[in-house]
Amino acid sequence: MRGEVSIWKNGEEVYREANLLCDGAGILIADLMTVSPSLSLVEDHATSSILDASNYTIQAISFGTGEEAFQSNAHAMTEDKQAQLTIAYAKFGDGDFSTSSVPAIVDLASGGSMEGSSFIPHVGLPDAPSPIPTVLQTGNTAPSETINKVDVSSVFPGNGQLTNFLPSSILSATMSGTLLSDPEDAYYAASLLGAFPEGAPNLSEVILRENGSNIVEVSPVSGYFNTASSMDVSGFVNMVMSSVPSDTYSMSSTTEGLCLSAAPTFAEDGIVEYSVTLAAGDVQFANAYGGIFHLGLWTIDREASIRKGNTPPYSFSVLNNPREYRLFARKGITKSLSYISDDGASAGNTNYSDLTIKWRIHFV
Amino acid sequence: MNFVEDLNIKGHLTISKRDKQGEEEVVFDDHNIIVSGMGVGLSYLFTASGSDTVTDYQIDRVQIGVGGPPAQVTAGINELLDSLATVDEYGTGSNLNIEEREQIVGGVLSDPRPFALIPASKWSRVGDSSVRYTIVIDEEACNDLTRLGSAAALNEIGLFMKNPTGYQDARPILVAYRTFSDIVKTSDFSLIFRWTINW
Repeated sequence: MRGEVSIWKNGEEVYREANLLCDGAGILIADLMTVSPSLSLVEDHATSSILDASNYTIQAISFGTGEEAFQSNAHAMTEDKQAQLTIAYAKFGDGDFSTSSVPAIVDLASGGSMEGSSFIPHVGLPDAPSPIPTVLQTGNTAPSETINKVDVSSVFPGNGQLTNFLPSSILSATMSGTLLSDPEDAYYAASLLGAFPEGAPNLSEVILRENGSNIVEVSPVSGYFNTASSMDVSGFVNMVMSSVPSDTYSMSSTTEGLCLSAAPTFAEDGIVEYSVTLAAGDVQFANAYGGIFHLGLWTIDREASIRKGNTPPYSFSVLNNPREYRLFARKGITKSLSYISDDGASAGNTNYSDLTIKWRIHFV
Repeated sequence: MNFVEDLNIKGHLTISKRDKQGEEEVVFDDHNIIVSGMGVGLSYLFTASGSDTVTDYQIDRVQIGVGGPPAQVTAGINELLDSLATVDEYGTGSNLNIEEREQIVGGVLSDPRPFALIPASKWSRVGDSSVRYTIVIDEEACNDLTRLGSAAALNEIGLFMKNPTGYQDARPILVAYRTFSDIVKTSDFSLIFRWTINW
Protein backbone atom coordinates (compact mmCIF):
# COMPACT_ATOMS: atom_id res chain seq x y z
CA MET A 1 0.00 0.00 0.00
CA ARG A 2 1.49 3.33 -1.01
CA GLY A 3 0.40 6.78 -2.08
CA GLU A 4 1.41 9.75 -4.13
CA VAL A 5 0.38 13.39 -4.17
CA SER A 6 0.14 15.57 -7.24
CA ILE A 7 -0.68 19.27 -7.36
CA TRP A 8 -2.38 20.89 -10.32
CA LYS A 9 -2.39 24.60 -11.11
CA ASN A 10 -4.17 26.13 -14.11
CA GLY A 11 -4.63 22.69 -15.65
CA GLU A 12 -0.97 21.73 -15.34
CA GLU A 13 0.63 19.30 -12.97
CA VAL A 14 3.25 21.25 -11.06
CA TYR A 15 4.26 18.70 -8.44
CA ARG A 16 4.18 14.94 -7.90
CA GLU A 17 5.80 12.94 -5.14
CA ALA A 18 5.23 9.91 -2.93
CA ASN A 19 3.42 10.40 0.35
CA LEU A 20 4.14 8.90 3.76
CA LEU A 21 1.61 6.50 5.19
CA CYS A 22 1.39 6.92 8.94
CA ASP A 23 1.10 4.45 11.76
CA GLY A 24 -2.55 5.53 11.95
CA ALA A 25 -3.19 3.66 8.72
CA GLY A 26 -2.13 0.36 10.25
CA ILE A 27 -4.02 1.09 13.44
CA LEU A 28 -7.17 1.83 11.46
CA ILE A 29 -7.01 -1.48 9.60
CA ALA A 30 -6.29 -3.41 12.79
CA ASP A 31 -9.29 -1.61 14.33
CA LEU A 32 -11.64 -2.69 11.59
CA MET A 33 -10.29 -6.23 11.60
CA THR A 34 -11.07 -6.67 15.28
CA VAL A 35 -14.31 -4.77 15.85
CA SER A 36 -16.81 -7.24 17.26
CA PRO A 37 -19.31 -8.57 14.70
CA SER A 38 -21.74 -9.20 17.53
CA LEU A 39 -22.47 -5.45 17.63
CA SER A 40 -24.75 -6.07 14.65
CA LEU A 41 -27.10 -7.89 16.99
CA VAL A 42 -27.53 -4.87 19.25
CA GLU A 43 -30.80 -3.10 18.51
CA ASP A 44 -29.47 0.30 19.57
CA HIS A 45 -28.83 2.20 16.34
CA ALA A 46 -25.79 4.08 17.64
CA THR A 47 -24.11 0.84 18.68
CA SER A 48 -24.80 -1.09 15.50
CA SER A 49 -23.67 1.97 13.50
CA ILE A 50 -20.16 1.32 14.76
CA LEU A 51 -20.06 -1.35 12.06
CA ASP A 52 -20.79 1.14 9.28
CA ALA A 53 -17.89 0.87 6.85
CA SER A 54 -17.74 4.67 6.38
CA ASN A 55 -16.33 4.95 9.92
CA TYR A 56 -13.18 3.23 8.64
CA THR A 57 -12.42 5.18 5.48
CA ILE A 58 -10.70 8.46 4.69
CA GLN A 59 -12.97 11.35 5.60
CA ALA A 60 -10.94 14.57 5.62
CA ILE A 61 -7.88 16.47 4.48
CA SER A 62 -6.07 19.27 6.28
CA PHE A 63 -3.14 21.64 5.80
CA GLY A 64 -0.27 22.55 8.09
CA THR A 65 2.88 24.60 8.37
CA GLY A 66 5.96 24.86 10.58
CA GLU A 67 5.76 25.56 14.32
CA GLU A 68 7.40 28.98 14.13
CA ALA A 69 4.83 30.11 11.58
CA PHE A 70 2.17 29.96 14.30
CA GLN A 71 4.02 32.65 16.28
CA SER A 72 4.73 34.88 13.29
CA ASN A 73 3.10 36.22 10.14
CA ALA A 74 -0.65 36.88 10.53
CA HIS A 75 -0.63 34.84 13.75
CA ALA A 76 1.35 37.53 15.57
CA MET A 77 0.22 40.84 17.07
CA THR A 78 2.01 44.20 16.93
CA GLU A 79 0.88 47.66 17.95
CA ASP A 80 0.35 48.63 14.35
CA LYS A 81 -1.63 45.49 13.68
CA GLN A 82 -3.81 46.09 16.71
CA ALA A 83 -4.58 49.58 15.47
CA GLN A 84 -5.51 48.20 12.05
CA LEU A 85 -7.72 45.54 13.63
CA THR A 86 -9.51 48.24 15.61
CA ILE A 87 -10.24 50.12 12.39
CA ALA A 88 -11.40 46.96 10.70
CA TYR A 89 -13.55 46.00 13.68
CA ALA A 90 -15.40 49.30 13.52
CA LYS A 91 -16.36 48.38 9.96
CA PHE A 92 -17.29 44.88 11.02
CA GLY A 93 -19.37 46.30 13.85
CA ASP A 94 -21.57 47.94 11.22
CA GLY A 95 -22.34 44.47 9.96
CA ASP A 96 -20.97 45.27 6.54
CA PHE A 97 -19.71 41.86 5.51
CA SER A 98 -20.22 42.53 1.82
CA THR A 99 -16.89 44.28 1.39
CA SER A 100 -14.74 43.03 4.20
CA SER A 101 -14.93 40.90 7.34
CA VAL A 102 -12.10 39.70 9.62
CA PRO A 103 -8.86 40.50 7.84
CA ALA A 104 -5.57 38.66 7.94
CA ILE A 105 -3.10 41.38 8.85
CA VAL A 106 0.59 40.72 8.46
CA ASP A 107 2.95 43.24 10.00
CA LEU A 108 6.39 42.39 8.68
CA ALA A 109 7.79 43.43 12.05
CA SER A 110 6.47 40.11 13.40
CA GLY A 111 8.09 37.87 10.81
CA GLY A 112 7.99 37.13 7.15
CA SER A 113 9.58 39.05 4.33
CA MET A 114 8.87 40.36 0.88
CA GLU A 115 10.38 39.16 -2.38
CA GLY A 116 9.43 42.08 -4.56
CA SER A 117 5.68 42.31 -4.06
CA SER A 118 5.27 38.73 -2.86
CA PHE A 119 4.96 37.79 0.79
CA ILE A 120 7.19 34.97 2.07
CA PRO A 121 6.03 33.84 5.52
CA HIS A 122 8.41 33.02 8.34
CA VAL A 123 8.08 29.30 9.01
CA GLY A 124 11.27 27.98 10.60
CA LEU A 125 11.81 24.30 9.98
CA PRO A 126 8.64 22.24 9.64
CA ASP A 127 8.62 18.76 11.20
CA ALA A 128 10.59 16.18 9.25
CA PRO A 129 8.60 13.32 7.69
CA SER A 130 7.80 10.62 10.20
CA PRO A 131 5.03 8.02 10.37
CA ILE A 132 4.74 8.36 14.15
CA PRO A 133 3.20 11.79 14.90
CA THR A 134 -0.57 11.97 15.06
CA VAL A 135 -0.71 15.63 14.01
CA LEU A 136 0.77 17.44 11.03
CA GLN A 137 3.05 19.69 13.09
CA THR A 138 4.17 19.09 16.64
CA GLY A 139 5.01 21.77 19.20
CA ASN A 140 3.22 24.98 20.05
CA THR A 141 0.90 25.55 17.09
CA ALA A 142 -1.35 28.25 18.50
CA PRO A 143 -0.63 31.97 18.47
CA SER A 144 0.84 32.88 21.86
CA GLU A 145 -0.52 36.40 21.89
CA THR A 146 -2.42 38.09 24.69
CA ILE A 147 -5.73 39.80 24.08
CA ASN A 148 -7.21 41.68 27.02
CA LYS A 149 -4.99 39.68 29.43
CA VAL A 150 -6.02 36.35 27.91
CA ASP A 151 -3.50 34.19 26.09
CA VAL A 152 -5.20 33.00 22.91
CA SER A 153 -3.42 29.65 23.11
CA SER A 154 -4.89 29.01 26.56
CA VAL A 155 -8.39 29.17 25.08
CA PHE A 156 -7.64 27.65 21.68
CA PRO A 157 -4.62 25.36 21.90
CA GLY A 158 -3.12 24.52 18.55
CA ASN A 159 -3.93 21.28 16.77
CA GLY A 160 -0.92 21.22 14.47
CA GLN A 161 -2.59 22.67 11.41
CA LEU A 162 -4.21 25.73 9.88
CA THR A 163 -7.59 26.37 11.47
CA ASN A 164 -10.73 28.11 10.29
CA PHE A 165 -11.85 30.90 12.64
CA LEU A 166 -12.20 33.85 10.27
CA PRO A 167 -15.81 33.53 9.01
CA SER A 168 -18.06 35.70 11.14
CA SER A 169 -20.52 32.89 11.84
CA ILE A 170 -17.71 30.65 13.10
CA LEU A 171 -15.96 33.24 15.23
CA SER A 172 -19.11 34.33 17.02
CA ALA A 173 -20.13 30.75 17.79
CA THR A 174 -16.73 29.45 18.85
CA MET A 175 -15.75 32.42 21.01
CA SER A 176 -19.09 32.54 22.81
CA GLY A 177 -18.77 31.45 26.42
CA THR A 178 -14.98 31.70 26.42
CA LEU A 179 -12.66 34.28 27.97
CA LEU A 180 -12.58 35.87 24.53
CA SER A 181 -16.32 36.23 24.19
CA ASP A 182 -16.29 40.03 24.12
CA PRO A 183 -17.03 40.78 20.44
CA GLU A 184 -13.94 42.91 19.94
CA ASP A 185 -11.68 40.37 21.69
CA ALA A 186 -13.28 37.60 19.63
CA TYR A 187 -12.63 39.57 16.49
CA TYR A 188 -8.94 40.03 17.35
CA ALA A 189 -8.56 36.38 18.32
CA ALA A 190 -10.15 35.16 15.09
CA SER A 191 -7.74 37.29 13.11
CA LEU A 192 -4.80 35.72 14.94
CA LEU A 193 -6.10 32.17 14.58
CA GLY A 194 -6.94 32.39 10.87
CA ALA A 195 -6.66 31.03 8.38
CA PHE A 196 -9.17 30.76 5.52
CA PRO A 197 -11.33 33.50 4.02
CA GLU A 198 -15.08 33.97 4.08
CA GLY A 199 -17.29 32.09 1.68
CA ALA A 200 -18.82 33.87 -1.30
CA PRO A 201 -20.49 36.30 -1.59
CA ASN A 202 -18.72 37.62 1.51
CA LEU A 203 -15.10 38.65 1.21
CA SER A 204 -12.01 38.72 3.39
CA GLU A 205 -8.84 40.68 2.97
CA VAL A 206 -5.12 40.12 3.48
CA ILE A 207 -3.42 43.34 4.55
CA LEU A 208 0.37 43.49 4.36
CA ARG A 209 1.93 46.21 6.53
CA GLU A 210 5.44 47.51 7.02
CA ASN A 211 6.49 50.51 9.10
CA GLY A 212 2.89 51.59 9.54
CA SER A 213 1.87 51.48 5.88
CA ASN A 214 0.16 49.09 3.55
CA ILE A 215 2.77 47.72 1.14
CA VAL A 216 0.65 45.86 -1.42
CA GLU A 217 -2.99 46.51 -2.21
CA VAL A 218 -4.80 43.21 -2.51
CA SER A 219 -8.48 42.93 -3.35
CA PRO A 220 -10.71 41.11 -0.86
CA VAL A 221 -11.39 37.49 -1.77
CA SER A 222 -13.50 34.53 -0.79
CA GLY A 223 -12.59 30.84 -0.55
CA TYR A 224 -14.14 27.57 -1.57
CA PHE A 225 -13.97 25.93 1.85
CA ASN A 226 -16.24 28.46 3.51
CA THR A 227 -18.44 28.91 0.46
CA ALA A 228 -19.23 25.20 0.55
CA SER A 229 -19.00 25.00 4.37
CA SER A 230 -16.72 22.02 3.86
CA MET A 231 -14.08 22.95 6.45
CA ASP A 232 -14.73 22.73 10.17
CA VAL A 233 -13.31 25.18 12.68
CA SER A 234 -10.36 22.84 13.30
CA GLY A 235 -9.31 22.96 9.65
CA PHE A 236 -10.55 19.56 8.46
CA VAL A 237 -12.02 19.60 4.95
CA ASN A 238 -14.81 17.08 4.83
CA MET A 239 -15.30 14.25 2.34
CA VAL A 240 -18.38 15.18 0.33
CA MET A 241 -18.92 11.92 -1.55
CA SER A 242 -20.29 8.67 -0.16
CA SER A 243 -18.72 6.45 -2.83
CA VAL A 244 -16.89 6.60 -6.15
CA PRO A 245 -18.92 7.96 -9.09
CA SER A 246 -21.07 5.54 -11.05
CA ASP A 247 -23.82 5.63 -13.68
CA THR A 248 -26.24 6.79 -11.02
CA TYR A 249 -23.93 8.83 -8.81
CA SER A 250 -22.06 11.69 -10.37
CA MET A 251 -18.74 13.18 -9.32
CA SER A 252 -18.97 16.15 -6.99
CA SER A 253 -17.01 19.30 -7.65
CA THR A 254 -13.62 19.36 -5.95
CA THR A 255 -14.41 22.94 -4.92
CA GLU A 256 -17.10 21.59 -2.59
CA GLY A 257 -14.81 19.48 -0.44
CA LEU A 258 -12.76 16.31 -0.54
CA CYS A 259 -13.88 14.06 -3.40
CA LEU A 260 -13.41 10.38 -4.04
CA SER A 261 -12.91 8.72 -7.40
CA ALA A 262 -11.49 5.59 -8.95
CA ALA A 263 -11.36 3.99 -12.36
CA PRO A 264 -13.86 1.20 -13.08
CA THR A 265 -10.86 -1.11 -12.84
CA PHE A 266 -10.13 -0.24 -9.21
CA ALA A 267 -10.59 -3.87 -8.15
CA GLU A 268 -7.65 -4.81 -10.40
CA ASP A 269 -5.33 -1.82 -10.01
CA GLY A 270 -6.42 -0.86 -6.47
CA ILE A 271 -6.02 2.88 -7.08
CA VAL A 272 -8.26 5.31 -5.20
CA GLU A 273 -7.99 9.06 -5.72
CA TYR A 274 -8.86 11.81 -3.25
CA SER A 275 -9.01 15.32 -4.66
CA VAL A 276 -9.81 18.80 -3.45
CA THR A 277 -9.40 22.31 -4.85
CA LEU A 278 -8.21 25.33 -2.89
CA ALA A 279 -9.46 28.65 -4.21
CA ALA A 280 -6.88 31.30 -4.99
CA GLY A 281 -8.21 33.10 -1.91
CA ASP A 282 -7.69 30.03 0.27
CA VAL A 283 -4.08 29.81 -0.93
CA GLN A 284 -3.49 33.53 -0.37
CA PHE A 285 -4.81 33.39 3.18
CA ALA A 286 -2.90 30.20 3.98
CA ASN A 287 0.23 32.00 2.84
CA ALA A 288 -0.45 34.90 5.19
CA TYR A 289 -0.73 32.44 8.09
CA GLY A 290 2.48 30.55 7.32
CA GLY A 291 1.96 28.69 4.06
CA ILE A 292 1.25 25.05 3.40
CA PHE A 293 4.12 22.67 4.18
CA HIS A 294 2.10 19.67 5.33
CA LEU A 295 -0.90 17.86 3.92
CA GLY A 296 -2.77 15.18 5.84
CA LEU A 297 -5.41 12.60 4.98
CA TRP A 298 -7.53 11.65 7.96
CA THR A 299 -9.89 8.86 8.94
CA ILE A 300 -12.32 8.92 11.82
CA ASP A 301 -10.85 7.87 15.15
CA ARG A 302 -13.85 5.91 16.31
CA GLU A 303 -12.62 5.20 19.82
CA ALA A 304 -11.64 8.81 20.47
CA SER A 305 -14.98 10.02 19.12
CA ILE A 306 -16.88 7.68 21.42
CA ARG A 307 -14.71 8.66 24.40
CA LYS A 308 -15.79 12.26 23.79
CA GLY A 309 -19.38 11.16 24.10
CA ASN A 310 -20.19 11.13 20.40
CA THR A 311 -21.79 8.03 18.98
CA PRO A 312 -22.06 7.11 15.32
CA PRO A 313 -23.27 7.86 12.76
CA TYR A 314 -20.98 10.91 12.81
CA SER A 315 -22.50 13.76 10.82
CA PHE A 316 -20.02 16.43 9.80
CA SER A 317 -20.53 19.82 11.39
CA VAL A 318 -18.50 22.99 10.81
CA LEU A 319 -18.98 24.35 14.32
CA ASN A 320 -19.38 21.34 16.54
CA ASN A 321 -17.92 18.44 14.64
CA PRO A 322 -18.49 15.17 16.53
CA ARG A 323 -15.70 13.48 14.61
CA GLU A 324 -12.29 12.94 16.10
CA TYR A 325 -9.78 12.21 13.37
CA ARG A 326 -6.78 9.90 12.99
CA LEU A 327 -3.91 10.75 10.66
CA PHE A 328 -3.79 8.13 7.87
CA ALA A 329 -1.21 9.62 5.51
CA ARG A 330 0.80 12.78 5.34
CA LYS A 331 2.86 14.67 2.84
CA GLY A 332 5.61 17.10 3.75
CA ILE A 333 6.54 19.71 1.18
CA THR A 334 9.84 21.55 1.19
CA LYS A 335 8.48 24.55 -0.70
CA SER A 336 5.15 25.94 0.42
CA LEU A 337 2.20 25.18 -1.81
CA SER A 338 1.27 28.82 -1.38
CA TYR A 339 4.64 30.15 -2.53
CA ILE A 340 4.17 32.96 -4.99
CA SER A 341 6.57 35.22 -6.85
CA ASP A 342 6.12 38.30 -8.94
CA ASP A 343 5.36 37.58 -12.55
CA GLY A 344 6.54 40.45 -14.68
CA ALA A 345 4.26 43.37 -13.92
CA SER A 346 1.97 41.26 -11.70
CA ALA A 347 2.61 41.42 -7.98
CA GLY A 348 2.67 37.92 -6.55
CA ASN A 349 0.14 38.77 -3.88
CA THR A 350 -2.43 39.71 -6.49
CA ASN A 351 -1.76 36.71 -8.68
CA TYR A 352 -2.76 33.55 -6.80
CA SER A 353 -4.37 30.64 -8.63
CA ASP A 354 -6.65 27.80 -7.61
CA LEU A 355 -4.72 24.65 -6.67
CA THR A 356 -6.09 21.13 -7.03
CA ILE A 357 -4.61 18.37 -4.88
CA LYS A 358 -4.92 14.82 -6.19
CA TRP A 359 -3.86 12.22 -3.70
CA ARG A 360 -3.77 8.63 -4.90
CA ILE A 361 -3.57 5.62 -2.64
CA HIS A 362 -2.48 2.35 -4.28
CA PHE A 363 -3.90 -0.61 -2.41
CA VAL A 364 -2.56 -3.29 -4.78
CA MET B 1 6.40 0.39 11.09
CA ASN B 2 9.47 1.06 8.98
CA PHE B 3 10.37 4.57 7.95
CA VAL B 4 9.21 4.05 4.39
CA GLU B 5 6.73 5.62 2.09
CA ASP B 6 4.47 2.62 1.87
CA LEU B 7 2.57 0.57 4.37
CA ASN B 8 4.32 -2.76 4.25
CA ILE B 9 1.77 -5.31 5.37
CA LYS B 10 3.49 -8.34 6.84
CA GLY B 11 2.48 -11.60 8.38
CA HIS B 12 4.00 -14.39 10.43
CA LEU B 13 2.80 -17.93 10.93
CA THR B 14 3.68 -20.50 13.54
CA ILE B 15 2.28 -24.00 13.53
CA SER B 16 2.29 -26.16 16.61
CA LYS B 17 1.41 -29.79 17.09
CA ARG B 18 -0.39 -30.57 20.33
CA ASP B 19 -0.76 -34.14 21.49
CA LYS B 20 -3.51 -35.49 23.71
CA GLN B 21 -1.38 -34.88 26.81
CA GLY B 22 -1.29 -31.18 25.96
CA GLU B 23 2.39 -31.14 24.92
CA GLU B 24 3.06 -28.59 22.20
CA GLU B 25 5.80 -28.71 19.61
CA VAL B 26 6.44 -25.90 17.13
CA VAL B 27 6.81 -27.43 13.68
CA PHE B 28 6.81 -24.26 11.60
CA ASP B 29 7.75 -20.64 12.25
CA ASP B 30 8.14 -18.24 9.33
CA HIS B 31 6.73 -15.23 7.52
CA ASN B 32 3.78 -15.52 5.16
CA ILE B 33 2.82 -13.99 1.82
CA ILE B 34 0.30 -11.16 1.79
CA VAL B 35 -1.41 -11.56 -1.57
CA SER B 36 -3.05 -9.05 -3.86
CA GLY B 37 -6.51 -9.92 -2.56
CA MET B 38 -5.74 -7.86 0.54
CA GLY B 39 -5.39 -4.76 -1.61
CA VAL B 40 -8.46 -5.64 -3.64
CA GLY B 41 -10.55 -6.00 -0.50
CA LEU B 42 -9.27 -2.74 0.99
CA SER B 43 -9.87 -0.87 -2.26
CA TYR B 44 -13.54 -1.95 -2.12
CA LEU B 45 -13.65 -0.48 1.38
CA PHE B 46 -11.92 2.79 0.59
CA THR B 47 -13.91 3.39 -2.59
CA ALA B 48 -17.12 2.66 -0.67
CA SER B 49 -18.03 0.43 -3.57
CA GLY B 50 -18.38 -2.85 -1.77
CA SER B 51 -20.10 -3.82 1.42
CA ASP B 52 -21.26 -1.03 3.71
CA THR B 53 -20.67 -3.19 6.77
CA VAL B 54 -17.18 -3.37 8.15
CA THR B 55 -17.52 -7.00 9.23
CA ASP B 56 -17.50 -7.98 5.56
CA TYR B 57 -13.91 -6.72 5.34
CA GLN B 58 -12.75 -8.78 8.27
CA ILE B 59 -10.57 -11.85 7.98
CA ASP B 60 -12.82 -14.50 9.41
CA ARG B 61 -12.10 -17.73 7.56
CA VAL B 62 -9.39 -20.05 6.41
CA GLN B 63 -8.82 -22.82 3.92
CA ILE B 64 -6.32 -25.64 4.30
CA GLY B 65 -4.91 -27.52 1.37
CA VAL B 66 -2.79 -30.41 0.24
CA GLY B 67 -1.47 -29.02 -3.07
CA GLY B 68 1.46 -26.90 -1.95
CA PRO B 69 3.90 -25.64 -2.61
CA PRO B 70 3.09 -24.06 -5.96
CA ALA B 71 5.91 -23.60 -8.45
CA GLN B 72 6.14 -19.93 -7.52
CA VAL B 73 4.79 -18.37 -4.38
CA THR B 74 3.99 -14.77 -5.30
CA ALA B 75 1.63 -12.04 -4.20
CA GLY B 76 -0.42 -12.87 -7.27
CA ILE B 77 -1.73 -16.11 -5.78
CA ASN B 78 -5.50 -15.98 -5.47
CA GLU B 79 -6.41 -19.52 -4.42
CA LEU B 80 -4.92 -22.55 -2.77
CA LEU B 81 -3.46 -25.08 -5.15
CA ASP B 82 -5.61 -27.90 -3.79
CA SER B 83 -7.82 -26.82 -0.91
CA LEU B 84 -9.86 -29.39 0.99
CA ALA B 85 -12.85 -29.88 -1.23
CA THR B 86 -15.63 -31.07 1.05
CA VAL B 87 -17.01 -30.59 4.51
CA ASP B 88 -16.14 -34.25 5.14
CA GLU B 89 -12.47 -33.59 4.46
CA TYR B 90 -12.47 -30.93 7.18
CA GLY B 91 -13.99 -33.56 9.47
CA THR B 92 -17.63 -33.87 10.37
CA GLY B 93 -16.78 -34.70 13.97
CA SER B 94 -14.50 -31.75 14.46
CA ASN B 95 -15.22 -28.45 16.14
CA LEU B 96 -14.62 -26.54 12.94
CA ASN B 97 -17.53 -24.49 11.67
CA ILE B 98 -17.52 -25.00 7.92
CA GLU B 99 -19.32 -22.77 5.44
CA GLU B 100 -19.45 -23.36 1.68
CA ARG B 101 -19.26 -20.22 -0.43
CA GLU B 102 -18.29 -19.03 -3.86
CA GLN B 103 -14.79 -17.59 -3.83
CA ILE B 104 -13.46 -14.56 -5.73
CA VAL B 105 -10.56 -15.92 -7.78
CA GLY B 106 -8.85 -13.39 -10.00
CA GLY B 107 -12.01 -11.37 -10.50
CA VAL B 108 -14.28 -14.34 -11.26
CA LEU B 109 -16.28 -16.62 -9.03
CA SER B 110 -15.48 -20.23 -8.26
CA ASP B 111 -18.00 -22.94 -7.50
CA PRO B 112 -18.83 -23.07 -3.80
CA ARG B 113 -15.89 -24.20 -1.69
CA PRO B 114 -15.68 -25.01 2.02
CA PHE B 115 -14.14 -22.50 4.44
CA ALA B 116 -13.41 -23.01 8.11
CA LEU B 117 -14.65 -20.01 10.06
CA ILE B 118 -12.39 -18.38 12.63
CA PRO B 119 -14.54 -17.30 15.57
CA ALA B 120 -14.14 -13.65 16.62
CA SER B 121 -12.92 -14.88 20.00
CA LYS B 122 -9.82 -16.16 18.19
CA TRP B 123 -8.87 -12.75 16.75
CA SER B 124 -6.52 -11.02 19.16
CA ARG B 125 -5.20 -7.48 18.95
CA VAL B 126 -1.56 -8.07 19.87
CA GLY B 127 -0.28 -4.59 19.03
CA ASP B 128 -1.52 -1.24 17.80
CA SER B 129 -1.51 -2.49 14.24
CA SER B 130 -1.19 -6.26 14.69
CA VAL B 131 -3.85 -8.94 14.87
CA ARG B 132 -3.27 -12.60 15.63
CA TYR B 133 -5.63 -15.27 14.34
CA THR B 134 -5.60 -18.61 16.11
CA ILE B 135 -6.89 -21.55 14.14
CA VAL B 136 -7.24 -24.88 15.88
CA ILE B 137 -7.44 -28.00 13.73
CA ASP B 138 -8.53 -30.40 16.42
CA GLU B 139 -7.93 -34.15 16.66
CA GLU B 140 -11.03 -34.97 14.65
CA ALA B 141 -10.31 -32.55 11.82
CA CYS B 142 -8.57 -33.08 8.48
CA ASN B 143 -7.66 -36.73 9.09
CA ASP B 144 -7.17 -39.54 6.61
CA LEU B 145 -6.97 -37.30 3.57
CA THR B 146 -6.23 -38.90 0.24
CA ARG B 147 -5.48 -37.78 -3.28
CA LEU B 148 -5.36 -40.24 -6.20
CA GLY B 149 -5.64 -43.12 -3.79
CA SER B 150 -2.65 -42.10 -1.68
CA ALA B 151 -2.42 -40.43 1.70
CA ALA B 152 -2.27 -36.66 1.34
CA ALA B 153 -0.45 -34.30 3.67
CA LEU B 154 -1.51 -30.80 4.71
CA ASN B 155 0.96 -28.29 3.32
CA GLU B 156 -0.77 -24.99 2.50
CA ILE B 157 -3.13 -22.59 4.24
CA GLY B 158 -4.84 -19.34 3.31
CA LEU B 159 -6.61 -16.56 5.19
CA PHE B 160 -9.68 -14.98 3.62
CA MET B 161 -11.49 -11.66 3.85
CA LYS B 162 -15.17 -12.42 4.31
CA ASN B 163 -17.11 -10.55 1.66
CA PRO B 164 -15.61 -7.30 0.36
CA THR B 165 -18.04 -6.93 -2.56
CA GLY B 166 -20.97 -7.01 -0.18
CA TYR B 167 -22.95 -9.68 -2.01
CA GLN B 168 -25.80 -11.11 0.03
CA ASP B 169 -24.01 -14.45 0.44
CA ALA B 170 -20.40 -14.00 1.45
CA ARG B 171 -17.88 -14.21 -1.38
CA PRO B 172 -14.49 -14.48 0.28
CA ILE B 173 -11.16 -13.47 -1.23
CA LEU B 174 -7.70 -14.82 -0.36
CA VAL B 175 -5.57 -12.24 1.49
CA ALA B 176 -2.65 -14.22 2.94
CA TYR B 177 -1.07 -17.52 2.01
CA ARG B 178 1.63 -19.86 3.25
CA THR B 179 2.97 -23.28 2.44
CA PHE B 180 4.61 -25.50 5.01
CA SER B 181 6.29 -28.88 5.25
CA ASP B 182 4.00 -31.85 4.81
CA ILE B 183 1.98 -32.77 7.88
CA VAL B 184 -0.04 -35.97 7.67
CA LYS B 185 -2.82 -35.22 10.09
CA THR B 186 -4.10 -38.00 12.36
CA SER B 187 -6.40 -38.13 15.34
CA ASP B 188 -3.36 -38.37 17.65
CA PHE B 189 -2.79 -34.64 17.66
CA SER B 190 -4.27 -31.28 16.86
CA LEU B 191 -2.65 -28.46 14.93
CA ILE B 192 -2.63 -24.88 16.13
CA PHE B 193 -1.95 -22.14 13.59
CA ARG B 194 -1.06 -18.78 15.12
CA TRP B 195 -1.08 -16.26 12.31
CA THR B 196 -0.15 -12.65 12.99
CA ILE B 197 -0.80 -9.92 10.45
CA ASN B 198 0.88 -6.55 10.94
CA TRP B 199 -0.61 -3.64 9.02
